[in-house]
Amino acid sequence: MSEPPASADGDGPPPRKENRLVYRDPNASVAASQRLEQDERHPVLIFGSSDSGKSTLIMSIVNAIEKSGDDGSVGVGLSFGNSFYAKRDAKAEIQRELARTFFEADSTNFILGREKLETTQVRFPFFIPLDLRIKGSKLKPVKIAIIDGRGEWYEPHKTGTIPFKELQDDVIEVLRNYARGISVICAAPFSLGDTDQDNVSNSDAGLWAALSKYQELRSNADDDALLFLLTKWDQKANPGKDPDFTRLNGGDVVEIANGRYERSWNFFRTVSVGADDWEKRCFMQYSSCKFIEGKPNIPTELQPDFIRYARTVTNWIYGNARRFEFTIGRQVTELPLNLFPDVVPRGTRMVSLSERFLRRVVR
Amino acid sequence: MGTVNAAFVLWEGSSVVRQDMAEVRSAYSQLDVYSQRALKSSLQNRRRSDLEAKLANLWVEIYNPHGGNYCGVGEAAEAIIADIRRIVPDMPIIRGTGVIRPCNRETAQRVFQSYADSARATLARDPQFLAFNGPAKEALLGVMRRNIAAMSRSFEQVEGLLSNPTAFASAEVQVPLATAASNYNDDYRHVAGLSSPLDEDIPGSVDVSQSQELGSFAAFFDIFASRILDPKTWAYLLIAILLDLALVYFLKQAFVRYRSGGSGDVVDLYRERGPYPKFLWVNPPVDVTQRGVRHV
Repeated sequence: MSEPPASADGDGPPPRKENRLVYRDPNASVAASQRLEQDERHPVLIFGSSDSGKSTLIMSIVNAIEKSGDDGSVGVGLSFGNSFYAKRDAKAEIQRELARTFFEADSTNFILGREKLETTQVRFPFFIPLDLRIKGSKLKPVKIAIIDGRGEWYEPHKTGTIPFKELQDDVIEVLRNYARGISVICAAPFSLGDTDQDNVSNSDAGLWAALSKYQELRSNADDDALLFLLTKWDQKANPGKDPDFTRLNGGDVVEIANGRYERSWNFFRTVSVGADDWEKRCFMQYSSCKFIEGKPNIPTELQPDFIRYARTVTNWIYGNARRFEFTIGRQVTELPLNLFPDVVPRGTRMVSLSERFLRRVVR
Repeated sequence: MGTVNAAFVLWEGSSVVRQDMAEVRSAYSQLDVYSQRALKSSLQNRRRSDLEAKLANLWVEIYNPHGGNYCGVGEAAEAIIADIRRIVPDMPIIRGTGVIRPCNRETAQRVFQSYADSARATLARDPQFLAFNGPAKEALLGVMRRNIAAMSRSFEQVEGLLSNPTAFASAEVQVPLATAASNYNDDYRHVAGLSSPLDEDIPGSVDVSQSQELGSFAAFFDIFASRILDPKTWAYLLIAILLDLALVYFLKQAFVRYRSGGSGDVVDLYRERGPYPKFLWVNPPVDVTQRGVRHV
């Protein structure tokens, strides 16, 4: 990975890489990629069909951060990143309002289980800017921007000659022009209901199309990180009753991904994100919450189990954002890459022969 | 203890077999040397000489060539006949033995000749005399030499096989050993039958049961006790105990994984470099000291 040159004044963003296509949204005075770069904000793109759990994923992350420190974990302060929308035109203004509503109202309602969650219906995707600051630390806050939008944008055309819908302009623009690392989450729901198997197929096809587009548009993915998230895991394993909800092996997830998301999963496995990219492509199962009559509801005794999911993904995003700081010359080695150590493997080590033997015996 | 036994047997198996082979070789060597010497003993030849001397005396007493009219089986002749029967106990007493008066030397000559023929024939039929002086001796020595030669050939092959530490239990090793031991025991019995008592230093039989019972739990203690002064035994025992401890550790780990639903608490194969992307999820740790699985 080559380090981009530092900016002239040392604080501002580095100059753009040359030979990049500069996409100008005719309706935006400042492109999303520029706003992200100027604000030193790490973008998190989420691909996924309708009801794949994109919005609840974001809400559960907000919830996990809001509740951090309650159980002795690291306390993380979370605030809405107003600086991202400092320069805005009419479209950006709408996006800012959508993002603020999401952060201040929707997320709060999610946490409190007040409102029924509806499918996201907006005209264009919007970034939800979040500033994460470790309480009691002098570290600068880590800035991220998670994109939300309609699931239909990631589904095949039911009519017409074009098999798949185009990605939204802002997404295309960021993929083409954002010079630093991007986090991309593929939300693949385990199930969309007992009789809705077709939509899982649509979800698979939509993710495959989005990943194909990502690979096509992203000319330099060396600093990117991809996450294949098998969402709605609570439909596979009943929380509190089925041990597989909290204790499982990567093989369990791989088996389902191979079976239900054969096309997108196999593309994801091989999509290139630079040299030595094994650690840049991750996967896991996910569950945002338990729904009762459409309302999010997590019994108190199951909260540690659910929050573990959000903490794991938050760690992943936070680590990616910190690595982004490294690319602009900060000493990332002195900075923590994980907010929640309780969900991090205790050190990395090779799997010993005895360990492999035991697993073969036990399984 | 099973692991101790298995490990001890695995590492000591070849040594035990070699030791039994050496025992058979040594026993056969002693028996061979003894047989060559003992079966050529002058004992039996002296019996013949003694018999002939007694027969000469008997002829004088019965025929009495200088005795005038006196001849026949008198008291002195009966004493000599008794001496002859000590040499050839199975020789029969001729009916009518007694003093013949007046002397009929032709009759006396026939009586003596009858005794002489009977004594010589009896000696010739005597098994011990036959063994040491006849075809039986040669047959026995021939069989024993063939057995010793066969043992040497087969043991050479066995030595080659024992370069593989697990070959001790194979039929290619066990059969030649058992055959050699069995042959020795037969040969000893035959030699002892001809030349009893044998030298006490020669083993009456060789026992290769340790080799044949390698791996048997019941035989373990006997084998162990017989090799208790060998430092290697203790080295192997130490290794075996370490293996036992490792086994306990493995079982404990397996139990933990079983209780935790088959997955480790930290490491997952999919979190290591492999054909699949990196698995992010980490299972919560398990407190197995509590009854039932609970998260901590």
